[in-house]
Amino acid sequence: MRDSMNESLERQSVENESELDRLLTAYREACPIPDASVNFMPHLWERIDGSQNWTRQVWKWANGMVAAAAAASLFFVMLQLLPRHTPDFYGATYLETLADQHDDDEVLENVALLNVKPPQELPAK
Amino acid sequence: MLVDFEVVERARAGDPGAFNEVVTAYRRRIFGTISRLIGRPEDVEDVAQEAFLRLYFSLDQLRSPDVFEPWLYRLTVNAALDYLRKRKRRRLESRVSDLSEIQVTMADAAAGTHIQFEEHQKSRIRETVDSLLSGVSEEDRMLLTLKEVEGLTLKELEKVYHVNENALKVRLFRARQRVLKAFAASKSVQGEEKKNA
Repeated sequence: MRDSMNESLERQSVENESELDRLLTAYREACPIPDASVNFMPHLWERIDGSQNWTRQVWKWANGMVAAAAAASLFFVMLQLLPRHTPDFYGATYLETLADQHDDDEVLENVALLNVKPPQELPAK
Repeated sequence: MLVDFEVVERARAGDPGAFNEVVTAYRRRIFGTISRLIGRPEDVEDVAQEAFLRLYFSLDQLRSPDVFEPWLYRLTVNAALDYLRKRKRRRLESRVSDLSEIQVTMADAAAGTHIQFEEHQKSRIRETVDSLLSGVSEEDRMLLTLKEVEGLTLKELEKVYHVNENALKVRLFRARQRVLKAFAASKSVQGEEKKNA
């Protein structure tokens, strides 16, 4: 009983396989091959030209960007190479700046006079 | 090859006449393949143009004449696959009817006039195979179509897909088994319907 069922299933499977093969072969014939329209080639060339123009534009834009970046880099390099003239104000210490601002002897003398006190002698024991 | 490799060489060097020659030679074959791969005759021309456009821009990558045809097949398969993916996305977005304009026109014609028996049969075959192949992935559908419908050998498919023969065999076997299962199921449904009628 089981053998005959297996046999029948196997036969069915083989049948299905060959039917599917026939169907797929028939499908090849059943699919229509549309004719190319008159505009096929001109349209294709239009698309090719369009793509080329686009690529060209991208290249142009990319080249422009590269040139701008190179120019900017050069500018900054030049800026670094130029001798720097920093004002003394930033380089000097507080005392030097103070001295520069009050560059007359009078002030300095006053300052000196104000602070100078003769040291007191210690009483002898 | 349908054209001499010398023509391909000239096309590669930028000769538009030679490129026209290549397109003219392969146009019908490519149209046929695309028609069977995508199943929508009205979009075949667009997809073919895309395939030839890719051919134009990648001609300089071609190294030897014996790989020209598999390579053109590969470009065609990729263009068809991209088209199917886009269509799937569009279909998911808009959920419009699956019927193409031609199918609608044909259905109208069938309903209104006496369509020829042969054309009707062909249409049924197309519908059946399309529905069977819709059960597998688009990649497997392409592979099965190229093998079973286009008649490409495993060696040729190896060149198209750059995959070894054994891997292709396994993929083909699995895809075919899935289609076969769907076929058996549709047959049993038809049998039931006949019994009920």
